[in-house]
Amino acid sequence: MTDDEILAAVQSAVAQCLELPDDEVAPHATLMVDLGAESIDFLDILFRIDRKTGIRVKVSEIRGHIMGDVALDAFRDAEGFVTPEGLAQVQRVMPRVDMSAFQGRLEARHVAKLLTVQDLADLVANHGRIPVA
Amino acid sequence: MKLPDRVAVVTGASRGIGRAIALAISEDGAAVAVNYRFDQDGANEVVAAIEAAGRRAIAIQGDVSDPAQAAQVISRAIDELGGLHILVNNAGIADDRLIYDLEPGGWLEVMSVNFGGVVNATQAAMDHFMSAREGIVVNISSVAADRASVGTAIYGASKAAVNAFTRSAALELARFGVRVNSIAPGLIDTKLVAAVDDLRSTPMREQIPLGAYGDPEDIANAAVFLCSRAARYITGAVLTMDGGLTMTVDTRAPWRPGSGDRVPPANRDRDVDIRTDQIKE
Repeated sequence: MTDDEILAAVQSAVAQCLELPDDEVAPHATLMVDLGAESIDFLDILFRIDRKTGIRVKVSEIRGHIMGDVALDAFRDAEGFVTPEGLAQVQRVMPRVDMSAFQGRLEARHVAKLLTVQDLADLVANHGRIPVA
Repeated sequence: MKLPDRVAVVTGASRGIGRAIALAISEDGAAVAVNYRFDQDGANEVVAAIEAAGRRAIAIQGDVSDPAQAAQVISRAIDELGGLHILVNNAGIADDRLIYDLEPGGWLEVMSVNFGGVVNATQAAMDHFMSAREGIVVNISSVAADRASVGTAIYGASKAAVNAFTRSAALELARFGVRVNSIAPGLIDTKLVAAVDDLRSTPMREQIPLGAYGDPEDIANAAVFLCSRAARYITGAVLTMDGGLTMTVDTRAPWRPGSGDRVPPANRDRDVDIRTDQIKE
């Protein structure tokens, strides 16, 4: 599948799962904040993507994808804020995020909220090509 | 009929509670895959009884404690019976040894069958259920999950694990239209229970408020209910069916077998010899 086809499959899966009109699931929309996905929705989204693309991504791999090779203790500091090293990693997997807005004050527990439809499509497209934690 | 056009897999269905469940859900219209591990004759007899009543059934050998065999049981049922709507995870083994008497690692086999079998078969079936966005899982647990007797440490732990798994599976699968429940039988009139209970100085049967062991058919009736549309709002539940055995702290026998002409409440509509309180075969 081409990257465009995967993006279309991801948009369609998200729209069906969250019962949203297709055009509301824009590539730049964040899944959890803009579209209202809960963590329990991700299994359904990923299951639908699997059915459409044949690519099976596990829910647990999303976190691995976001954190890459950065260890948890290096990813966030003692107060729970993402470190500069963690922010650089987030920037790599979510290149469209405006990181200047978060410098030094992004809580690790909020990182997943930044994940967009396009980020998820990238994850699916890259699945199997990148190491996952 | 409560289960027309349904296809079910019942694990450990060659005898006892599994056999009763296979027969009962077939009576209500379901085609049944009768899974067994060793007892091929028993499984074939169940299949023959179902077919004699005009329903479809097949026997499928497979040890569900092994993930690959569990997957094969499920896929054969789907292929040969044309779908899958109901999974009854009944296969189980007992081990009444005291903790002190268990060899190191001696707990693993019971956990592998009683808990591992539930996980393996559910995992094998869930892709199908999730795709269809419907499905029913009924796990056979035990009151031993929540109440101790001497010698039930490992068996009880395996059944407690089944109940915990039931709740999480119900949660994870709810949005896919899949209901997951368990039934916790008390003392059911099977060879396994009688062999243990008859050796006690005070049989637990005498402590059952309803005055008798349950029948496998009692559990089967509950399984039919949980598999039917009538139970569509029930998920993540553990349905205790024990004649009242575990609800009370009062250990006096509510009624005493052979002590008079009273028939124990659970036996009033059964063919029971009241002198010995034995349900006639």
